[in-house]
Amino acid sequence: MKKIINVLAFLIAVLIAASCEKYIEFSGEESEPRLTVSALAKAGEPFRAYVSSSLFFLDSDGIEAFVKDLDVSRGVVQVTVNGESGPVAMRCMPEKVDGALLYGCDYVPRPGDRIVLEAEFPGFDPVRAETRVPYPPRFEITSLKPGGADEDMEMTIRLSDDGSYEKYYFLAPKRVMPSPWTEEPAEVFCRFNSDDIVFRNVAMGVFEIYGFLFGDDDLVSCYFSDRLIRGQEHSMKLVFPGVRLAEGDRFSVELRTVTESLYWFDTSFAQMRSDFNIFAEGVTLYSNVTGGYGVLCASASARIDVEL
Amino acid sequence: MKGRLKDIGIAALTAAILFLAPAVASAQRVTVSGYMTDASSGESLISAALLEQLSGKGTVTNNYGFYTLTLNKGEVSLEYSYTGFEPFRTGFSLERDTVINIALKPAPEMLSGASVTASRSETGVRGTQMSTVEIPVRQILRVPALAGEVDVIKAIQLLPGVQSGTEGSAGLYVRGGGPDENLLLLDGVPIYNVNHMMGFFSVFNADAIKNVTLYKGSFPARFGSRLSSIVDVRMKDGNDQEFHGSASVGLLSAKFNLEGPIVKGRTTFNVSARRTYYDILAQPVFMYINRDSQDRGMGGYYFYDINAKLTHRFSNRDKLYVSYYMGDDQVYARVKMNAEREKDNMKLGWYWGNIVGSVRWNHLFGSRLFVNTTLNYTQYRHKLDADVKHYELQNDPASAFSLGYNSLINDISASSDFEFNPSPRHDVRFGATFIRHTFKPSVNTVHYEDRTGGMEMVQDTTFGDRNLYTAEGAAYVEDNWTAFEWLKINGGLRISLYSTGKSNYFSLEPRLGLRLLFSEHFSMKASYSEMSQSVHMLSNSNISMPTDLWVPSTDRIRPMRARQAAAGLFYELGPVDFSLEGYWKGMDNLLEYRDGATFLGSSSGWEDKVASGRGWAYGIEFLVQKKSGRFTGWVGYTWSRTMRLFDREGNVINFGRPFPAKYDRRHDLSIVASYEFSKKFDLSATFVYGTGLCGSLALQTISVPPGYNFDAGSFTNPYPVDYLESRNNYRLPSYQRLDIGFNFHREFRSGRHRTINLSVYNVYNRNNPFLVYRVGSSLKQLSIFPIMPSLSYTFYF
Repeated sequence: MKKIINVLAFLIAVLIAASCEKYIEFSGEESEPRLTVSALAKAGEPFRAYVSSSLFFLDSDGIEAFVKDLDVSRGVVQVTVNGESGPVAMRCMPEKVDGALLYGCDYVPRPGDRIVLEAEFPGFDPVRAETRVPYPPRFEITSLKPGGADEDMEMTIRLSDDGSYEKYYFLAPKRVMPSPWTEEPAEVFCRFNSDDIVFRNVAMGVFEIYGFLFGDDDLVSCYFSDRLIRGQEHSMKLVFPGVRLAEGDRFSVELRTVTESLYWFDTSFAQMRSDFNIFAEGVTLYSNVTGGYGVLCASASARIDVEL
Repeated sequence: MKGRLKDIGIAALTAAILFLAPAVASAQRVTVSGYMTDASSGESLISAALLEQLSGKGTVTNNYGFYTLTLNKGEVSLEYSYTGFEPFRTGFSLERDTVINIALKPAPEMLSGASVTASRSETGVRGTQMSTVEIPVRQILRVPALAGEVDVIKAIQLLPGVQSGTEGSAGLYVRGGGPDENLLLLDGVPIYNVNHMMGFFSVFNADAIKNVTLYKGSFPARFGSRLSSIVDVRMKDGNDQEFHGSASVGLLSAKFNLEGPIVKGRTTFNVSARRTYYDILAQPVFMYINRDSQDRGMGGYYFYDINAKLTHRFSNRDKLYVSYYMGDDQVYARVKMNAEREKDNMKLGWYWGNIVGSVRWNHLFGSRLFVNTTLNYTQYRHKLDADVKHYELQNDPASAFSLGYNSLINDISASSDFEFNPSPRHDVRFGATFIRHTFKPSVNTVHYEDRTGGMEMVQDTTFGDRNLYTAEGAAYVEDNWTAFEWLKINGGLRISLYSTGKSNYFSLEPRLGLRLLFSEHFSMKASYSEMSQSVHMLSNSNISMPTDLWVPSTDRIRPMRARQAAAGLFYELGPVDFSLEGYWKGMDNLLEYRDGATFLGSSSGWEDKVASGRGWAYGIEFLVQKKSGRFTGWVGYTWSRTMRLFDREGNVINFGRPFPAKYDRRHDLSIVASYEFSKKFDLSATFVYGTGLCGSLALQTISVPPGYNFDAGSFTNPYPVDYLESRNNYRLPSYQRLDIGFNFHREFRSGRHRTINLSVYNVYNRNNPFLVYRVGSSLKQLSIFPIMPSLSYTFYF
């Protein structure tokens, strides 16, 4: 009897010890690798696209694995602009890029262009994405207080939103300073804050990341949408803490109109990079590529330079 | 002129008849009222039935065992019944308002299945109440339990429409709702944190409990302030004739219960307490670890709770109840490091718990108006202390550092609830409640002093969120109207007003339930209800943590709202009840964490870290339940779907696309069975199966090329990224478990008896997922409860 009890006790102890943690097979729908196609169409700059394959997360093995299954000789990447005169084939560029193939063509995006990007490689589902190149924003600087002994620099920008469709903007004020290393002046991001209504739409990750980097909630650049100001002429005041411009100082404000896809991709990517906590909610990276992953997006920029 | 006078006369006569008819009719009606109690203990019986057999009219007792039934004058034949008790029948000529207090005798023959009287409870075939389950406490006591610790919440998790969170958790997810959407009432007082030991056990000590009712839809207007469920737990009043008690020792905890009369038949008390003793059992381990060292380290975890209740009957018209609950969890560690010329002392403490108290007064005006007036206090507090002292040459502390974190919520409330029985066809309830909430989301205190190097520096700092004060008021009216014998309607309206900061939120919540009786044993019910909720719990994980933060609705965060429609079929076959229900629930202003957000380590600025959106849930629930006889138990099955959509401006999650809720579970099956072989031995078993819960898992890795990340377009190196397609895209492996329990009873000649319980949790040692995570290129699953045998001994006296 004692022997039986000992054996039973041993078996139970083994069960308890062995049952706490174990490797498991992936039980979900195993997703096959797909093509990842990403391209940012900037008005006035040659169009380029990056192509790679995704990897099942349990098979990830180095940066080269993203391109090793892509047969360049049989793969097709093509762009169609405004549905005119058929697609234009893109060619694999000689520049070496780790983790992706770079494709290019002679096409230079213009505001208003509707771009369709398609790719097809043996062993992968064909992918397709579509975007429209936005028009540059119309804005002006209506007032500028350079700041003083007890005053921070303040700037008011008036943005004319035509209200024709939902728009997303990217704002990046920069201070232009002589560079100690090059003849070209250096452009340095400049921290700012604002109570304006448009900045309530800023995705949290952007705040978080700059908050983390600079220890406060100031911004250095940010995205916002026009949902609350659509079709209006909207003035927004920016305050630049600690910035005081003197005679001859230069300052620039770049405002871009960006596609919704770029807005979502970029903000989600920023959140992903700021995700330092294992208890935090997972971050979903935006994609508008059907049949695969990646993002096709576009932007058009306008810039105002100020010199005191 | 004569004709005109004649017309006036006829009109006056008609008016007089119209006015006087109800009065005449009223004069023909009289009321039978009183209390129904258990003859063996004097405990009031909740939801016990009274049926007037000649007219077919009936009623059930309320939470205080009180009933009132208005009938026409004349011969009556009354049957008082309660499942598991001998029915009592009486017939007489009812001529005036009559008070009949009935003490029903427990019926041992019913336990052997000899006869069963079907309950006329409002949750049964004949009542209007649907989506509601009453669980007999003796059934709960038989359900095999984790570590032998019988748990009310764990038993509720086995009902259809109710899902559990992760393995072992005491969280309730009812019809697509979150764990904070359940109003858990202990003797009518809300409890904010019902969990001990990170949610593996609940605060409800089964020894102190008399009755448990779960409402998961078709909410009567008297309930409000939560979206998804009401769990109404009632404590025992105490035996009014003699002293009784029990003492129990198990592997995890020890507990006792004592009840009895202070003044026989008038004043009773009931006290229960329990404490775990893992910390005490762990001491020899620490002593062994410290045996060869100058340093000393020890720590532990325990929880305790105390339930107490005092009941005093002033007269048949007035009763006073005083209830009290206090429970705490404590984690502590103490380390002493001794060097030759200096030493360090470190103390860490982590405490959380509830204090709940209530004073209730029942009064009967006449024979038709019953009033319950309550004053409540409930508090949940969470505290973290760290204290480090450094000594040199055995002097006063050379340096000391202490850190404290406090979080607290408390409510003071007052309410009056009226029950009025104006006619045989109407049961009217109305009342009002007022709650004052105080939230202290987090306050940190830091103390630092340094007396080294001949200098002295002392710093005290306190910082954190400011206190938030909010107020909530509500008034309601409901009528349970028997329109025809085959049609019964429960209509009600609840009006609530919530005031916070500069905002006032007004909410109109209609409630409607109706029952169509096709035969004595078959009915169909339908219901519609709207609910609102002004408090939210912020939690990052599927398990209950003491750091879960209760926060109020604010100027920016609106109260949550839900609308629920349900319909079902109900059938009785002897002692077996069948129900099949379908429901649809729409929810608004739900809170979810934004991508990347976490509350770990910081509770400030919480409004920026959550988004507000919508949700919907629908499903079908099937329940077959047998409450009496040798064989008891139930089979419950739920098919359901729960989705979320956060697509509003500034509140977008998952790019505005719908995604499943974390606790979306397609299939959920529970089988609970108990068989009494003899008076000396009974056996019970539980089997559960559930589709795996949802989680977010990046299934692909992609290469994000350089070019357009947030830093204004500058190119960087390619960036491999784990690609998460959508929130909650991955389903954990399914959950299943079989538990069995054996109870060996023995009765001594003195009338005392004892029960030895042997339970085996997770009999076939299924590795159920608690957490799934990635290790390199593999997936690992953590399971926390393997096969767990347990033993407990309970002595009843």
